[in-house]
Amino acid sequence: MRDRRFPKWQRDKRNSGKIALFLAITLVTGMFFTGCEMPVPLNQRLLIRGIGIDWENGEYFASLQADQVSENSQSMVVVYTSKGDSVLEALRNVTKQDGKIPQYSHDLTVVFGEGAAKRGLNKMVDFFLRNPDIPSASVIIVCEGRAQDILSAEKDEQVIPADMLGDAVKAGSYNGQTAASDVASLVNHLAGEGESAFLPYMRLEDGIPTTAGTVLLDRYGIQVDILDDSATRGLLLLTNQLKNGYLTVWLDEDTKASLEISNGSTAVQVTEREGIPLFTITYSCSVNMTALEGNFKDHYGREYYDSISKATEGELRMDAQTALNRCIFENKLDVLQMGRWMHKQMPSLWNSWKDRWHDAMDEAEYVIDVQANMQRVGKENTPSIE
Amino acid sequence: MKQVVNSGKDGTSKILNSSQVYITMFVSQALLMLTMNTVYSNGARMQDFLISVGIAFVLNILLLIPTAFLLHLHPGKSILEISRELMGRWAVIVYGIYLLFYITMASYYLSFFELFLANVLDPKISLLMVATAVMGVSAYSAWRGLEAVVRVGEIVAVILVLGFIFLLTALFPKVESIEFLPFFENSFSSYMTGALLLFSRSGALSMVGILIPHTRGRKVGGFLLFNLAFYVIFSLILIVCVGTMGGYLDHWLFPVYSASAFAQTGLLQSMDALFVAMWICGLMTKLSMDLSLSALCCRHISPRVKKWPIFPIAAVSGAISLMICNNQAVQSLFFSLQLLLPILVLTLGVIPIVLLILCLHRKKQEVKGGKADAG
Repeated sequence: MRDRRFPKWQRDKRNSGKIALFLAITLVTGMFFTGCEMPVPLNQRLLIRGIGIDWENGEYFASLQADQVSENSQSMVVVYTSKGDSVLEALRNVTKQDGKIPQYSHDLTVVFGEGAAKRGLNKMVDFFLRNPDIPSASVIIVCEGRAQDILSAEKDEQVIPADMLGDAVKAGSYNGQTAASDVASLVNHLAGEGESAFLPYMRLEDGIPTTAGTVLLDRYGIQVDILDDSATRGLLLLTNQLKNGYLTVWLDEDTKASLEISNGSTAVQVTEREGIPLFTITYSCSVNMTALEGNFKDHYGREYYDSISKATEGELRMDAQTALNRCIFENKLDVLQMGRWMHKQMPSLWNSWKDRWHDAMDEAEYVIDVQANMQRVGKENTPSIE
Repeated sequence: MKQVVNSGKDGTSKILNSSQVYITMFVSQALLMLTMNTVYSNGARMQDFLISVGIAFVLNILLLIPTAFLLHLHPGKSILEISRELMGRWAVIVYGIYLLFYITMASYYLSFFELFLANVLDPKISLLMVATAVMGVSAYSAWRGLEAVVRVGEIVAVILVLGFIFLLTALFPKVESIEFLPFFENSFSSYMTGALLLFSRSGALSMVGILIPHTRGRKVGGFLLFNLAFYVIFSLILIVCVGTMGGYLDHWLFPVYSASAFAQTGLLQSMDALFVAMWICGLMTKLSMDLSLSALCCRHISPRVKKWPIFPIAAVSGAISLMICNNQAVQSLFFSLQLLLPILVLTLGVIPIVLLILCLHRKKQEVKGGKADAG
């Protein structure tokens, strides 16, 4: 309702007075807020892309890969190293070399060296769990040798950015050869009842950091074994992470097929047989033909359809069996979360097994079934799809 | 159609739409979703809150049954007005309890936000400045009147719902069934403790007895819809958070914040800033409402009092919130069931029951008196 008691000029004067008072209060209080009081220019920040943790001679060695922004806004990647009695101390000691304020990237990559992995990641994970600056989605990698070497690797005379290492690991979602892991899933695996963890493994090949399989960790986060690429694919299959990938199978001694896997999905069914758990692991996927390498002039009939599918199923089943043997039977590490599946589907059976699961997981029975369905053959019409 | 708003003599809106009030209640209750964790939950996992949510849903309804009967017997009157009618000058005890209730709730929610800032964001600014700024803005909002708060609540509700939709859609593709373990493995006490924690922090329910009688629209149906919508959204948030991050959330003081930092859709990643924005918007609305209703209680204690108690009440709430942050014993008192549950049950359960008994007793006396006159 309009204020008709006062003339317009008096109303405007009142309103402008209020506005002036409001602005004055805002400006005065703004002086007390540290955003205005203590601005930090970008070139005073240490923008950390990657953290490397090594353990040698009873000390932690930290490597920080950071963006350094000069005053004329040029950016370059530099690596700092320092040491300390704890992870935090080692990281903070970097500021002794460079007085900049550390700021962690939301796309952080964390690399643990071989020494740290063999000491046990359990001792180091709490820092990443408790520190709110470390994103839960940070990629974690274990490397051969020292993490410092991985983070300092150069290509074309420039340090390879750590987020590229993270991207290489995440590529497992479409190449089916790398097991990705982040802080959240590492903690879940280490904290899970009867479970163990796995992390992607990286090493330098011709000076370039390259994914090279998967590291298996026991329940204390201690490195126990390393799986190669094909066993890693089997591990991904068994843990429902083999959504996409690539595969080459031999159809006969002259002909091989390059295939693309898509829509991969794993289901685990737990049943009981005389008190012994039976795990039936069923993997199904679509297979698309990308190349058939043989005699180009030959045309392949419908009979190749079955042989391609069977060859694919055989290859994947072999990879999965290899991974299963290495994890469960050789190392007794439940990185596959089979105990968890039993807990979900047969809690009463789990209650009788959980206390001895670490030692007795190889007494359970495991059946792997792979179903590959040919979907596309490309533009060539052989073999044809029914 | 929105109703024209006029202030009644007691400072409440003469006519508000009940949907507006329930939407503001939703905003206040949404802070529950953003602030839940497994601390003080007697060993419950985040997943177990799915059961606790169902129990709290029922407890909310049960708690308000006496209030519903009371308001039905006194249409158009709030709990405060009914207590004056039935208790006379002793109604000041009711006003005092309600005042204490709102100060407690405001202190609790503000302290939770301050703890979040201190532990996660770690700003260089002191918590005193944060409390001053938040309570200052909320006090000004309350000064403008209940109608202003409720209308802001409508806007904030849209922000919150959009934020929740974003979280759900960003996290849903990452949900894995393996993260869910069987239910009912823990003792029932852990589920009940979780439910009571949610229930004891539901201070927004007081608006039903104070504001709803002065509104138009569907009151009972509106409450049931509000309660159902809130707990359905709450359950969905729990499902996507647990399904995405599993037991990892049990380690966090602010699990939903952690999950929002994990959320990713397209180019949008690490939406923790969205979470903080939602929290601040909801917090301001809730604190404004609590301060408004506190001032209303003061006006009932002394009709000569206008709006000025808003500022000292805001100062007291801010001071208590700082005390909670700086003292472990006080923090334990506020964050566990020791204080909030008894005060909620007293305010929203015992008082309406006592008033209901007084009301029924008076009606019985009137009937007897009527029969005696007729005889």
